[in-house]
Amino acid sequence: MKITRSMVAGAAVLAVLAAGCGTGGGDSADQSTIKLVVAQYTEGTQPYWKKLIKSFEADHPGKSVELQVIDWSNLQSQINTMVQTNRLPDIFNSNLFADFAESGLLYRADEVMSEDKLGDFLPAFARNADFDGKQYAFPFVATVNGLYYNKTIFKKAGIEQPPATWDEFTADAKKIAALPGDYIPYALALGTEGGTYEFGTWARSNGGDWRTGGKWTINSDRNVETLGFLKNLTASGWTQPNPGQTNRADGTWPLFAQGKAAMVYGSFGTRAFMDPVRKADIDYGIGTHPTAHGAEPVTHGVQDYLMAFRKDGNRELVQQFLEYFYQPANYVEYLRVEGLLPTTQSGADEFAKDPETAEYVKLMPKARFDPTAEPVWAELSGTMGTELGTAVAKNGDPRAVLDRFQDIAEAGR
Amino acid sequence: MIDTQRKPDETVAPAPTAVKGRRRSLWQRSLPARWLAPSTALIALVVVFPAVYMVWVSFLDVNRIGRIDGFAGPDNYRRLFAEQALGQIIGNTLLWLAVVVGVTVAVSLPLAQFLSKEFTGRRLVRLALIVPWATSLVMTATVWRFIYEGGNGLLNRLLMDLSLISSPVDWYKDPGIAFFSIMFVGIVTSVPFTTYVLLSGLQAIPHDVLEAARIDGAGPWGTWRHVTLPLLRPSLLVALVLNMLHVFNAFTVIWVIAGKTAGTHADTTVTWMYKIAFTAQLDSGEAAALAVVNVTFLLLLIAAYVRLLRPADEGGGRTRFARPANRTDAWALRWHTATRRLAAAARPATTAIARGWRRIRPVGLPAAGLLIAAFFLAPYVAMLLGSLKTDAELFAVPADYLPKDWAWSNYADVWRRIPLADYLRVSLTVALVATAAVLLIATPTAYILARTRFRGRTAFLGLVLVTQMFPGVALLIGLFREALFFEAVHSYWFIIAINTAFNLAFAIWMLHAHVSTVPVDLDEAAMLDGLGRVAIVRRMIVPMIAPSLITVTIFTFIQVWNEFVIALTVFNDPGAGRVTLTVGVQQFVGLYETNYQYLFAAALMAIVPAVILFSLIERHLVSGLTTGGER
Repeated sequence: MKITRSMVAGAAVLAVLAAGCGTGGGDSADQSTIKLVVAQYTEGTQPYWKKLIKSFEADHPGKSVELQVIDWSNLQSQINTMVQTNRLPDIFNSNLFADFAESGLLYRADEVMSEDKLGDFLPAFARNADFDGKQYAFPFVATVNGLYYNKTIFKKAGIEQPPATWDEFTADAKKIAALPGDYIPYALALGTEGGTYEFGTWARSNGGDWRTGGKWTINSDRNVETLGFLKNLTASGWTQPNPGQTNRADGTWPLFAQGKAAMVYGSFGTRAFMDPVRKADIDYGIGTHPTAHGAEPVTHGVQDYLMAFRKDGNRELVQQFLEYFYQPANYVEYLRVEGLLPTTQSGADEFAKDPETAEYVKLMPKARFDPTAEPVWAELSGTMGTELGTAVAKNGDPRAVLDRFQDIAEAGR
Repeated sequence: MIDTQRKPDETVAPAPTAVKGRRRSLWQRSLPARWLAPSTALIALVVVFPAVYMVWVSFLDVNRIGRIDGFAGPDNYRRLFAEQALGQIIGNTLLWLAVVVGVTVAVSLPLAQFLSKEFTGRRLVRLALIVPWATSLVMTATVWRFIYEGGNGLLNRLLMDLSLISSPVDWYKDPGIAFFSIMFVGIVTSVPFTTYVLLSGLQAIPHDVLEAARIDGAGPWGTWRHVTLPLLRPSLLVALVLNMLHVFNAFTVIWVIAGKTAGTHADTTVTWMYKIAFTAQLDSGEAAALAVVNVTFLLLLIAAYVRLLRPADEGGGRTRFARPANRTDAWALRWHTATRRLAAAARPATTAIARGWRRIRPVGLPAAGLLIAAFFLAPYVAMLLGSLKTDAELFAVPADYLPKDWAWSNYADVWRRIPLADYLRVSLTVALVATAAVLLIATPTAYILARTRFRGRTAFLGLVLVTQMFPGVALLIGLFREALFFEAVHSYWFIIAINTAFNLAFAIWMLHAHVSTVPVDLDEAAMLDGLGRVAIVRRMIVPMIAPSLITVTIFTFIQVWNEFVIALTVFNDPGAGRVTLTVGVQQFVGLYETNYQYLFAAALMAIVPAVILFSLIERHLVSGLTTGGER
């Protein structure tokens, strides 16, 4: 007992010493400086922001912006650390915002952006930035995701059109599997990264969804059927081996770029996907996923956000910087750098002028989103990423897996 | 108990005349306490405090963004035990414990025996074994991930060339085999350390004992079975138990190889804990609960260890190992006669083999040695070749053994792709300061432990033993919460304190053993000459134990240099340039692509100096390793 107490005392002494020589204070609310924390999308991310900040500071003498770029795999843990240590950034870029809004850490959008600027966001994206009926985040970038298919393989198998229904899809898969050359009819990625995207897209093409009419419907019969369908696909050998453990970028996308996979779920126009595909000269087409039960064909929209943390004295500068960034010239340049799609009307107009991006912009109205505005989504998508893939393994049980997700969603801690 | 000796300062002396003498005796009596204070404080800060704090957090309700919402009671434990994956993960952990530890020891024993023989090229084999040990586990795990890749994997290419498999196997993705693939890496990375522990045990066996056995007419098998093995028992126990406790090191291996694939089929309790806290459930409370369960299990293991190494009859060191257990006597006798008879029957054959062996021995041993060296070096050759490939070649199906265009430019490009110079500077700073701190704290501690007997000595030794056995990973959640508590996340002093504390044990044991060999007479003579204790340590002890100090320096430096998990969690702030090398190079395992070529180029640049340093102290390491466990 005594040893323990003396140890705690020792620790306390050290702690006092440490506080003395520690890290120095955090960022105090200083009106002339704000901290911007953004995610790294590509290697162009950091140079772009550095340049933007330079020109912003030239435009606003005496003001400065401190930049921190974090890679995606560390983003969540880094921001949580910042929250827990009260070293909040002023502006932050992520794919989730609801937990922060719920904790009262964020400005409402209308507090740091004027009404007419807010009106420029495409309505579907702006609605998807609401929490509790109020907009808290700023739609930042979007991807629209759907089906890519390899025209060369289709021709070899005698397929003229991409499949419109699941029945056609099954028939086509059979034909492709029968071809010599070990082609993969559909490269399926249900791994940790992007597995929920892929499944959500298939679920909606079957008339299901994560939420229906304001209620969680993760384990609806349609969704169970969808996951069962994907499991059958796996069991029939119409996917690459172990789709439950395959991610997109280092799994299914290279297969498509190597001309091995006939179909794949991909982001339209995204660089990481397109560059190798173009380099390999793959003759490809794009479309929506095949549907069942007469569901309406849809694409999958993914949007990321900017959000502003509520701190004393930072409002004015935050507003100035946000509005500067969303000026069409600056914003469109950013999108070009990252190879992503706009979330504003003015940006979309600009993209519609380019024939290639126009094709993607056309598919944007068909986009459906994941319920990222629900606070529990952070936990849910983390767990789903880890466990969804297990459902398509040999002894996987789609219903049990989806039941579990439903429980987490409903518990909604 | 240490405390009771520090406190009497405040007690009122009964008689004024006695005060002076009493003061002096107080000063004398508190000597150990004063000299041991720094190491005790550090251990308290980095081991005891986080452990206690972790228990506290396991009863709190921590929300998804890490804020504490209140007291949760046993809810975290209830949630943990309701987790579907729990059973399977405990199963995995026990399987790892049994298979990895068992196979490691089973492989290391003959390997150590082999390396204790004289043959040409022995130095090469020993150095080959040093490489995986000196290399950061992160880097080794990464290269194995690379080797295990599916269509573009090297292992698949090799096995298909040998016609052992007909189509590529997803070694680390297929849920059926992933865990076994990872366990294999676990074994390969544990064998070098274990072999060295056993090797040091073998070298401690006096030659005359073996000779006596031979004169008595014992065959080689008999000598090994009845003389070598019993004498090796302490080392064997050390190897066995340290390996068991280091099951927690599995974190790095599992995390790097399979952390980004879905499912819990390859998780043990430690990686699962990390997932619960930081990636899937985002629930620090539940993770802390799991950590508490983990630590409890670990403490039970330690208790078992202490029991095994400290039998009741403390004094009878010799009988301890030779003592046959009465119950198994009959069995042993029967087994003995059976083997005797079998050996007699097979004698003509064995003598023939022995004769043949004597003839091929000069060739056979080096050849076997070469094979073993090749096996342990192969992953690093793959790493070197991978670092010279281009992007397209790395993902070519099937994989090529050699790069087509030797892309030496990768070694130049890597400096531009990541702030490698900054990472090196940060890692160097942390490693150097931590090493210096270890030396400064461990030397006086070891000296006073060797020179004085005081109440609480056993308790202190026990405490040191516990830190040696507590891998930092087990306390990860506690350390992280502690960092938040002290606002020490991403700060140098905290990561240095952690690294210092966890390397203290080895240093204290090693230096203590060496100081004990220095005759006390020298101290006393110096004291008569009027030298104080500090001066004695500085001017006499330090020069005399210099070899051990060098070993400790290099060993500690490399341990800190290679540390990964704790830096990943509590010292990782790219914005402020506070990222260590092992963590920094991980960004090449990106969301969209894995740039193995740059990762390997950076890794090799970190490995080469570590291997050189390690090979310098190789010989001292052999003698230093077992001292800790035997005490």
